[in-house]
Amino acid sequence: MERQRLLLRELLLIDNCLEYQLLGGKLAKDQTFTELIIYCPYRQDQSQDQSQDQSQEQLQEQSEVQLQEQSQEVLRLSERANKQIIIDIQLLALDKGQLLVAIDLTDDSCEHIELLMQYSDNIAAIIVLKADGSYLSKEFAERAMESSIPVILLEKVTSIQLNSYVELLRSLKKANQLLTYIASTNSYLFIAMNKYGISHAWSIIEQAIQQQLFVFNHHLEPIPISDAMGEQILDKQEEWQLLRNEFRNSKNIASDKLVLEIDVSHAKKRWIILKLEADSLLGYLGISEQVYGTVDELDIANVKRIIPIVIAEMIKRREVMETKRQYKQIFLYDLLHNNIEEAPDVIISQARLWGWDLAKPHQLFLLELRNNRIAKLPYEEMEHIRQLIKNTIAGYFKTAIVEELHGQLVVMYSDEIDQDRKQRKKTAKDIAAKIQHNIHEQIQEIEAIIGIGRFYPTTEQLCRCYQEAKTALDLSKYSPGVSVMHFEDLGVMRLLTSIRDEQLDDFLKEYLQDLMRFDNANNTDLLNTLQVYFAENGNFKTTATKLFVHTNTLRYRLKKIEEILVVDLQKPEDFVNLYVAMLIYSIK
Amino acid sequence: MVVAKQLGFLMNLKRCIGCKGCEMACQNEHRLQEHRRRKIIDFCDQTQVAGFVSMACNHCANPACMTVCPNKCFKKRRDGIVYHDPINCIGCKSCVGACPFGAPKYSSLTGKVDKCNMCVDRQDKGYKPACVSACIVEALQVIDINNGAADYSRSAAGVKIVQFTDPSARFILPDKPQQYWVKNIDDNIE
Repeated sequence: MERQRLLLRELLLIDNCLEYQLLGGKLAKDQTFTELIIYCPYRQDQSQDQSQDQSQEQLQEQSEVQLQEQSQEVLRLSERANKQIIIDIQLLALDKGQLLVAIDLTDDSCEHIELLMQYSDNIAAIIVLKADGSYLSKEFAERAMESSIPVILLEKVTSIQLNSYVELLRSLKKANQLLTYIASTNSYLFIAMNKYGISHAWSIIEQAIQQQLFVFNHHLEPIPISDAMGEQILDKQEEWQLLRNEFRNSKNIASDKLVLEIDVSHAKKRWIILKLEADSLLGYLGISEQVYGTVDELDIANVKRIIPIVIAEMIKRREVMETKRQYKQIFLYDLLHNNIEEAPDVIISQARLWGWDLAKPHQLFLLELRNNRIAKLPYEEMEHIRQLIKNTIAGYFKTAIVEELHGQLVVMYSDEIDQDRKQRKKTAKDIAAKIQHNIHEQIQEIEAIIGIGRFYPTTEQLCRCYQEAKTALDLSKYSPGVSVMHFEDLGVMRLLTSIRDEQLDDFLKEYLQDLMRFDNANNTDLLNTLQVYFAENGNFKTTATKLFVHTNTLRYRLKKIEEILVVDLQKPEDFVNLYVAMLIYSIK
Repeated sequence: MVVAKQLGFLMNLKRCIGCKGCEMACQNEHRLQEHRRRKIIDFCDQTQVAGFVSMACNHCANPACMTVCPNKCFKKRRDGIVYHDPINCIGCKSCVGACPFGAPKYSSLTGKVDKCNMCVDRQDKGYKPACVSACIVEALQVIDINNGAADYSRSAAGVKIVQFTDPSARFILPDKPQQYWVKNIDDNIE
């Protein structure tokens, strides 16, 4: 029966073999082996641990039994006193280069490696085991470096362990469970992360798959997990843009694994994108296919084992950010509700902690996001919108403060004091419209409604600006079709808000009750006619078109209204009174 | 997100009997003389009095007084109470005109404006506001509007409330008045 072929790479993905060092030679991706031979050089030092000696003997017996099964005498140890091995590999009925030799290295004599090199045609790789954690001798390392076959150093692994790993690998492969096993065993990485930080665990995986790994948020923007990664991200700005475009056009975003192909400087490059999910979508893990070769199932299984670690790290980072944000929000609340008793310079220095420059006067917007689909936006979406607003305002050469307060977004940007009032208002409305446009473009189902307060030259008056923006936002819903409302544009509505409701009610009744009664009694719709007439600025033609009637019908109806209410719509006083009454009607 | 707290008065119109105990307690607590912070208003059902509403400052979500004050005398605390600090008040009366409920009142004795602060000093010590603790029928309570106040009505029956400033007052509306007639015993005898 032919022995099962195992990939050398598969062995090196087993948890404890993950952290290997390649001392010499080249590790080809498709390097296979069928047989493992463990050589334990004779120990002269008898004071060594008895149990270890015993186990080594056992192991030798084991391997000999294994080999005898094949009725081969492969390993013949000559006189142990000479510390010599003679391997009669020719006798082994194996394909060329299918033998994996492990040396349990306790003394650093170079003879073993020299001897093994003679049979380099037959040996797939040499594994050097150093379970005792001592250093390799310089001499040995130099020999290994010259080697043509891969020489792999495994620390913290004993020969017994290595043997059992190979057996495990064989049985897993037989049961077709290898990939699942690799993807699910990550305690080694967890320990590495807890001991040395996430960047260490990260580099272990990167070394194992020989590709670069990146973490993305759910809009496929790279997130630096370590400092080194930050630099790499900066180098690849163009690539991210291409990747995002490709991602947006991709149809099967919902699938767990996504393969994207992009053209980076006229060369095709493949990215494999894996989902990071915990309760909700946290982001993506991207493997960039490098020159070293393609990414196969084995690599993906290996990368999958780092996913829980990345998720834990991302959740931790989010919690920290959330806590910081809460402090920010409390400060902002106090600032906008006149709740800080300290002198202005204390406020400014406090704000500097958050990187806000409140020494300059600020223009304030209040932004409400209305979503038809879900009640509350997930954290990532909110974060994305926040960044979007910042970028939009940066386009006007201004730095923005964007914070969430009671479900609304407070947007502030510094502005020059000596600027024309009208110009300032126009700029503010332009920026607001641009923000609205950008948000709608990115996320279609979200509609942003923006209220703008007046500009005040000092920071203490921000609270007033905030209240005005709030009023503008609240009242914008009574002006249909308007989604960017400046406080100054509220007009007479602003005055109406500070009048008691009873008085407004009386006013409404006084002017429109007769018309309402007439409508009820005769089943007409004169009130609506009047409303549209005002909305169309008293233009006959457009009003008639809106109401689907002939202009003469409209003329007749307006005449009727004038008759019922005993007014003349051409007289400015009557027009204004009715207009205000209509406004009160629409607010209620 | 910071969970917004907004304290406000909850009036149970079923229970209020218009005894003016809350008014008196407020007068007594704050040693007011000519003006009142809290006032009982009765609302009429065509001919007769149908119920009472006890009104003071509503500690609005968008306080109009805060926007107009030139001296920053008003502040909204983290618990939502709109607090008037009379130290800088110059008695300009702009808040008196701005408030749709007429909560801030000018005192000619002090030359400053005075308004209900929901007895913050008492609340900070763990007591209830004077009006609440004085209400013998327990019609008046302080609740957090943003947490579990969805069941209560935003406006009192018969008394409309301006909604623009988003007042933090909630009401439990009265049931329809019911009348019971005792059967005349004398009729039976006859």
